[in-house]
Amino acid sequence: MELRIVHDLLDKVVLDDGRRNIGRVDGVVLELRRDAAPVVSAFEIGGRVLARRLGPRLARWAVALGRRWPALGNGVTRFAMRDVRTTGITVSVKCDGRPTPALAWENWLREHVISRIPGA
Amino acid sequence: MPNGGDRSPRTKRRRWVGWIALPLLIACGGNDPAAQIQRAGSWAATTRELAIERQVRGIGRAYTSDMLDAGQREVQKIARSLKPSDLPETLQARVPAAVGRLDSVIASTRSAVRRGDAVALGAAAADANALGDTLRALRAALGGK
Amino acid sequence: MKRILDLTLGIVTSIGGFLEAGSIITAVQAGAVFGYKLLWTIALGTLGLMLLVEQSGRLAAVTGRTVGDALRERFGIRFFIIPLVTGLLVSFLVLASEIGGVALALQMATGIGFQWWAMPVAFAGWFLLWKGNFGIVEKGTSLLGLVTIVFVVAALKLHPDWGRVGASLLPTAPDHDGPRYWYLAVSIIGASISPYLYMFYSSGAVEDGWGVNDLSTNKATAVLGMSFGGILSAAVLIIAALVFLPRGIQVDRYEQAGLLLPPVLGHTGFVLFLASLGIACFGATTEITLAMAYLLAQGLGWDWSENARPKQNARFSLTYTVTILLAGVVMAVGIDPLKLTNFSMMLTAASLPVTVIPMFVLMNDEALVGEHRNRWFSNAALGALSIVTIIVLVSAVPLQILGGS
Repeated sequence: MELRIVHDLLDKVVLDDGRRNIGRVDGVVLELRRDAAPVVSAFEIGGRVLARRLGPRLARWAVALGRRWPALGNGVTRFAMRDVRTTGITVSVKCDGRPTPALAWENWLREHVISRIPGA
Repeated sequence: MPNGGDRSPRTKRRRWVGWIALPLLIACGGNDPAAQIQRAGSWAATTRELAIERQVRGIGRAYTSDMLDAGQREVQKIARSLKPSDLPETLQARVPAAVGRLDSVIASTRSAVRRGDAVALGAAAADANALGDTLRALRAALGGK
Repeated sequence: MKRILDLTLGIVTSIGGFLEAGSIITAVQAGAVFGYKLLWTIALGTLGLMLLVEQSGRLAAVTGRTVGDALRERFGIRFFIIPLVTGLLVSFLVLASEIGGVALALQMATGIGFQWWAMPVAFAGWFLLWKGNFGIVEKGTSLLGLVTIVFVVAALKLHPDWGRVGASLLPTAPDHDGPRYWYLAVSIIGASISPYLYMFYSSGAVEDGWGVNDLSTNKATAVLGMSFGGILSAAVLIIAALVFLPRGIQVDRYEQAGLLLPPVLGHTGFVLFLASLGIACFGATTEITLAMAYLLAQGLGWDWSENARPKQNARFSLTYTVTILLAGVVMAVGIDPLKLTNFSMMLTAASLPVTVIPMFVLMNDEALVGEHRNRWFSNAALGALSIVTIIVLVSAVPLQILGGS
């Protein structure tokens, strides 16, 4: 499958089976092959990945932040390209996004903060 | 750590602070007496308008009092920032006198509002009006832009 | 029939939602010192806003993508971070100014200082976002905002010299206080074209599920809604030119604007001014808060919708909650609302190039908008606007220093 990484993958919204937004494609994983062109084997979602694209200083901060407070759940979610249904304006994947680190924050906030405010 | 290494970024940062602070200094230090007299004139006009509108109950009492308090504070600020040395000799006494008089007109308007005294409000409006004329004349005498 | 109703509602909404803290006070300041002379900046700002609203609405209707989405998707995070950060920063200051506007209206009505009102106002705004849906937030506050039509009534009652009003629609150089004149010119442009407006508008189009069929509604809303809205701003300036300028009242404090209508409409004018200020700023408060949450959620790919229960989009709801309360704190500390408003209008104006210029690329991208991409006219107008925004950016700092106080 031919894939235009920047045009159809990078920075696009990722939708799971339930049409939930689980984030944006923050980075791609290239697999280098000995006698052939590299292929995109996976993509990643996560603040740390995003920070890396914004510059080395931010990347270092993101790593340090994750090390200092592991509870922040600064995890990276990786999706293999074989689980990708479609790419283009949005990227849809064959999976349930809820248990992934990409939605860990969302879930935590829902349970511990938002649900406790009356009227939520 | 060798001190040569960390020096240049810090100097750079200091320079940045300088670039930001310089305009701020210029902006805050600017106390053009003409502009100050004009502002005082604007407060005289505001006081007059407040007195007139309060007299006919065009505006609320709380608003009028608040506005007069604010005006008084502004006028006192203007009085403090006007340095006689910045003014030409002929105006050195007249400008502070006019600004001081505005302070007391605002105070008397304020007390007229408190008492709900319509006659006193009318008098205050007339006083403020006259002071506005005086300040406009002083502003013109100072010349400039 | 429903289409006409929707269209009318859309136009009425944009009229009622047009004025806010910045557009009111910059118009008053301009009229009080320069008479009608700065009317052209309102015309220019309104045309610019019209253009951007139409294009961002078209983008949303055709692609289902908001401006925030499209900026990140088309340009990548390394560019998107610039409009994201500046947008959030500038909008936050504008938001604080709007809360200040509501708080000032309450202060002027009750005599209780605006600082005491800031948190209750922020809380009320939050409550509306928390309990309400998009329709209530947008349409509700904007319909109430129709009270601002009182400015047009007052301006007409003053019988302005229409010849001179018309002549002021063309730019002229000032005959006195040059720096102040250009400072106000730039502030008015910032007050008219706020990025939060078209970010909000395009998100609203997605919330309402617009499609290609809505393009004519979009165009009509942009053109008619913004024109009528611009007339409201112009009316404020005209009143200030006819009430404040001859009396020699200049604006040192925001509250002085309360003297604008009583000479024309008596006590009713005073009450309607307070209502206009309070409602217009409250509407803007909720819209800016939502616009900021939309921008962050879209940029990072979170689920977002004001029509869903807060629990369904936890990060989105938390973002608007924290944002509005923090902005309330800024006002509660007692920052001078006039200074903050003027400063944030200037900053808004300076931030325009980062969202206006990329619109060029978005609206000419065939893969994105297809046959609905810009024609030569939209491109020429957007090009002219981009040049204006660059001039504004370059002159913002010197003008803030020379004409700001």
